[in-house]
Amino acid sequence: MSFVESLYQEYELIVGLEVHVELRTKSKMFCECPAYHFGVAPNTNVCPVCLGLPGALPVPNRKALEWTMLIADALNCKINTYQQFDRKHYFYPDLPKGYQITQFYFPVGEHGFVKLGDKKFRIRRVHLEEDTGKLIHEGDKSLVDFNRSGVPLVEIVTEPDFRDPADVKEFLKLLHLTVKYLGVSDADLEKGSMRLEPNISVRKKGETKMPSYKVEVKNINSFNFVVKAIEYEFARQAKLLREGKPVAQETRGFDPATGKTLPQRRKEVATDYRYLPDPDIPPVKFSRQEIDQIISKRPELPQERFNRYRKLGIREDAAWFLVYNKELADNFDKLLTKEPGLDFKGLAVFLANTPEKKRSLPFDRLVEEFKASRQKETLDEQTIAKIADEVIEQNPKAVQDYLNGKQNAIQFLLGQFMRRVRKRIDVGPVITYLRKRLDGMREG
Amino acid sequence: MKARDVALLSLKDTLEVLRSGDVSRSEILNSYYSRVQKLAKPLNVFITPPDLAALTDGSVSLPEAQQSTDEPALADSPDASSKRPLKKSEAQGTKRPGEASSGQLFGIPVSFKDNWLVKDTRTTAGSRVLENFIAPYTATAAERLLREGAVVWGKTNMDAWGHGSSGENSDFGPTLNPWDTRYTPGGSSSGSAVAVAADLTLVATGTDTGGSIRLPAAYTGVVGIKPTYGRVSRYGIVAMASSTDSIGHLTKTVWDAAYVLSITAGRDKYDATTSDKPVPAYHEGLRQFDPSSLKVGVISEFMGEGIDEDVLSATEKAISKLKEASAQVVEVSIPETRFGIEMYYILMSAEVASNLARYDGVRYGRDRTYFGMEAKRRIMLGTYVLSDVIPGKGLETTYAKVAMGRTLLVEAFKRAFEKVDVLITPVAPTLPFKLGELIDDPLKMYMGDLLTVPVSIAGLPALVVPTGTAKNEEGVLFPAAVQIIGPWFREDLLFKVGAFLEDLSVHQILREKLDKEFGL
Repeated sequence: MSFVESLYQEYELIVGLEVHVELRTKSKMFCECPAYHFGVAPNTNVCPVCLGLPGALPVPNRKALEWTMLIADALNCKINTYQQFDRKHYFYPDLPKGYQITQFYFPVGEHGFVKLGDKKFRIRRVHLEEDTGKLIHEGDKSLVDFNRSGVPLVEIVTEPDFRDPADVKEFLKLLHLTVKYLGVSDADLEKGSMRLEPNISVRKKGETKMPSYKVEVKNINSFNFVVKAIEYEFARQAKLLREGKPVAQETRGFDPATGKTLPQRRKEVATDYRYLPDPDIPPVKFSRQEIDQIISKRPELPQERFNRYRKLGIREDAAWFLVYNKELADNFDKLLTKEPGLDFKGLAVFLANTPEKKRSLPFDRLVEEFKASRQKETLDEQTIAKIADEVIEQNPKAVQDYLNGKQNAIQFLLGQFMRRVRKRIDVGPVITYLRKRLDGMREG
Repeated sequence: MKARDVALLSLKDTLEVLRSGDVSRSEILNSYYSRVQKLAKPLNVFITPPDLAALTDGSVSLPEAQQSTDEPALADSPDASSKRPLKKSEAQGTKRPGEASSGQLFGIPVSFKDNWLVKDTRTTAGSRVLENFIAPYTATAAERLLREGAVVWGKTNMDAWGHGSSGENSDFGPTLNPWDTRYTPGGSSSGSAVAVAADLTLVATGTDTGGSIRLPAAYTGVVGIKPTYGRVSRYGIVAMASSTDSIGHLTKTVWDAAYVLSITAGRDKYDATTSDKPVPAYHEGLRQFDPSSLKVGVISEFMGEGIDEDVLSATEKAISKLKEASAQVVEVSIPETRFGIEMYYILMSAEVASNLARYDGVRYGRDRTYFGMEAKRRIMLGTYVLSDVIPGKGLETTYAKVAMGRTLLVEAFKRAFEKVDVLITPVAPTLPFKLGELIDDPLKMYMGDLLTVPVSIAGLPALVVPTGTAKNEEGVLFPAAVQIIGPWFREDLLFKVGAFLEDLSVHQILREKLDKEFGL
């Protein structure tokens, strides 16, 4: 047993997630500036509000609130009819007001969950806030670009329900997909429009109390790095605990080059932020009907699409494949209405098996290829007899099984037959011939 | 009319002589300018004084309505993106941005409290932290005045960030009370009040968070309106305590105050706390008001302990004037007001600490060492009352508890206004105090806000009008004033009662005094 394995035997991993998603609304969260900020000349999409100038006031973006409700609903959250914006105070050069406007007391949504197979992971809250500016370090100077300041940012917080990094990855992939399905964010990890922050702690196996600390890891831009960071942190923290040392509550950064995490700053607690209901923004109130109406416009979710495909009889792996390849699935759905007679189960499997390079081909061409592959050849009787006899001769065990009453054995023999033919054929006559021969053997 | 007398006219009368053609716009500005030259410095009224030369672009003539070919008005609201192309005249510097060529205030000098952002003017909020801050945009309320043709007539002195009741917390030195320069004019809109009282301007803007318009109006004998919270946009005005900041103004008469509010009030899409309620022409029909059907309430908690005799008797005099006109006067008790000072200093400090967080030294060219003592005191207090979040019980900060208490006060006022139309109270517990008298005793200074802060916490409108004069124990003559409090969005009623109660001879006494002292 390796050292790390021994740690896993003795200690349990506990992970909660904070995921930030930048919305792709037209304008920013509290002003009229364009929210799009990638590749834009520094400090051009700015105004008194997002620069936090004296006297400037925030006015909330309704679209952003509606989109956050869609995310919250997709994560099975209860959506609050009374929502409020609060000020979260801290000093940082990219935060022009000295506070970030967020939702602390009354978020958009709470108490949700996501199911992965048999496991259920609870969502603590989904809330809306504003993004900060960006620091650019050049030589001994630090510059601030406020184009990103005030861009609507949704934060999704889970309960510390994860025990296995593989589940974390699965969850994040589904969340990423869900956000894309809703069409509310580019959710581009590279560009930072989706940011992943695991909160990691470790406790002794059998312990039921939550650890008194947590370590937040920032700057992670891929699902695999999240897994790596969690694994690294588990080993680091478990080792400290085994040595009888306390683990510090802190924020750490992930270095993709080394796969290690490094301390950044002591993590702050709620009181340090001095939360204050923002007196500039009256509480936002929605009636249940308004909320229902907003949610009724929500597009189909990945899980819903998966269920629909399964009802069509599409194989599970092919169904997931389509769900994760949204563009392909969208085209697939169009075809469903256009050519209802098509063999969709087969098409789904065909698409799933298409090599990645070929997937970028126009969808029509892929469908044509599929149809061509479906052209079945009917072998003449002589050929069937010749190959089937060979198969029967070379697979005495399967033959014996069949004679002993195992009907499935015929499938095996058919498989062997197909391996020899190596093209799509009408299998009916083959089966008939096989049965006839085998049943004849029994009688003989 | 003699040139020097032009500056003694009210806004109503000035508009009249302009309309009749008796007086030109440049004559008006020149008349005010000659008083500014003599009085502004000795009284320390302005942080940035009016610059007649800049206004007239070096030449003698001022823009007259007929001479201009510019488009008359600007967009409805300030250009948040600041991307509006400059008009030709703006680019050439002959006109300030937003200045119109006609309108209800065309050519009228308006002085702006120095926490109002007016594009391209220095806006310090009375603090050295912003000593070099040139506003890159214009406040909505200012824009509405400029759109009507108002002339930017200097930026007035104030307690830094609005923190103070005396003007002494200004980083640019205190403003002096023209009634007796040993005394404070009240604050924080000290420069604005004195600018109107000494006839250095026709209209001066103010902000009132806990009494900052009302107190200096009372101490200098001018009219001050603190509108309902949300009646006038706060956009573009340096925030003090966002939940009670009210945007108003100081004028020579009640009519003038009503006229100006008709222009500044109304919904602003850049301030989510402004109201959609329609804005009446507040100045119309003021004189026709008959108080005989009026029900006036006197708050018993405001008429007893802690209030000086001379203040009480001045208030009683105004009340008997209403009684004589057959108004019904009843006593109402609002015990919740007793916690006004405590509630206010908790709510306000918390919001002040939050609002000042942006002056962190990264921008505006000045770091935090430039904050004065009073700002530091409030930042510390505010940080403290926001630092006691109980984990899992987020709403139990001291701030949150007081916010709940605030609801009780609002309910209490609601009940009072079921019984009466308006409430009449003194403005401050004492007549003006001397410069330096309270500056080292902040708690005693805070007590001066006793009668104004409950109104602020409840977001009610209040009007202060001069009703006479009173002598203090040293025999110094000062104006006496009352505060008229009305239900939410009933400024119309306040102006009617105020027009009935105002004593315009008070201003005349000051004018004669200034004539003598400064040889005007």
